[in-house]
Amino acid sequence: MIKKTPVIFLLLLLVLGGCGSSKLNDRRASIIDGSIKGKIVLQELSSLISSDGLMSVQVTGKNTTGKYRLLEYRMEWFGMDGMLVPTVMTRWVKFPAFEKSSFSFRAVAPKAAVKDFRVIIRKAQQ
Amino acid sequence: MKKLSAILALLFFSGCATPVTHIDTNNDKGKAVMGLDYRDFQTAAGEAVSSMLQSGAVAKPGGGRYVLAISRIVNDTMQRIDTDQLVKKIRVDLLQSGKVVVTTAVGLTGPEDPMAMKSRQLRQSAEFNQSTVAGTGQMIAPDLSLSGKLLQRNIRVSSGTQQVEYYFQLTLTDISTGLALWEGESFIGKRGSSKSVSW
Repeated sequence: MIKKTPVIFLLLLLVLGGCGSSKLNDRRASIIDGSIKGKIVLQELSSLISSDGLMSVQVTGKNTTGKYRLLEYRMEWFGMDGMLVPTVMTRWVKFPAFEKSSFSFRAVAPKAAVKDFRVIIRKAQQ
Repeated sequence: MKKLSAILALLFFSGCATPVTHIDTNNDKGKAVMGLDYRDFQTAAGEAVSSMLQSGAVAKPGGGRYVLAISRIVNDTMQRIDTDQLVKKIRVDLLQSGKVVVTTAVGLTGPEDPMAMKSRQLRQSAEFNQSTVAGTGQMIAPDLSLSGKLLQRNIRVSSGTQQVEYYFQLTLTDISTGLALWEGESFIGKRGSSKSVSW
């Protein structure tokens, strides 16, 4: 019994570790709607700077449920000084999350001086 | 008795009146309307700017900024719309992107701001310090032109339901070659009671 404990502990660690690796833990992306937390998971956040200096961001996630959901995201951009950059692109943008499927969306920064961003996701409001 | 009736009527009607509230544009939970409202213009403008920047069409080779002239934006919907509701949002963001600057000295029906030309008439005036008057050959001609069309289609879905489709079509043309560098279309579709008006 004593010998079995470390094995069970290791198995538990592997299982939980496996689950955790598919979930994104990044302060820049969050789901703010409690009703979809756990049902919609964010998996990857990638950003790159294009040749003309604009930051592009791609968010990938998964709808773990068997139900189609219409979601929306809002992207905020921050300049080098950490100040918010106002833009018409900062608005709630709808996107589909099909049942048991991955989803992705991409956004481009409004200017080259943008150095950081924040994206929030919720269930579409209408 | 009359006074009492008047007071009662006043109370009744004031109770029914919808209170005026400001729209929270960041989290507007107001129901969609069959016509076009500010949310639709924000969507169309946001999609256009995002697409233009992502395509690289406004990235000038070697750096610098393109000069953009606003051409004809046709309103072919059943609604009375000032197309500047759309174009202004696009202009503001393109200017802030640092990749485009808009000329107000050139327009299809004359300059948007005639002051640039008008102020040149001061060259004749002895009242003005001539070194402060705009010289000749200083205006910059546009490189790009933005044109477009707003379309509407009304479709009867059933006896009580109608579908209204709006298309925001925009084209960015390279003036020197006449070639379209970027084209975009935003679609906004609405379905609702056929009693709702979309004009």
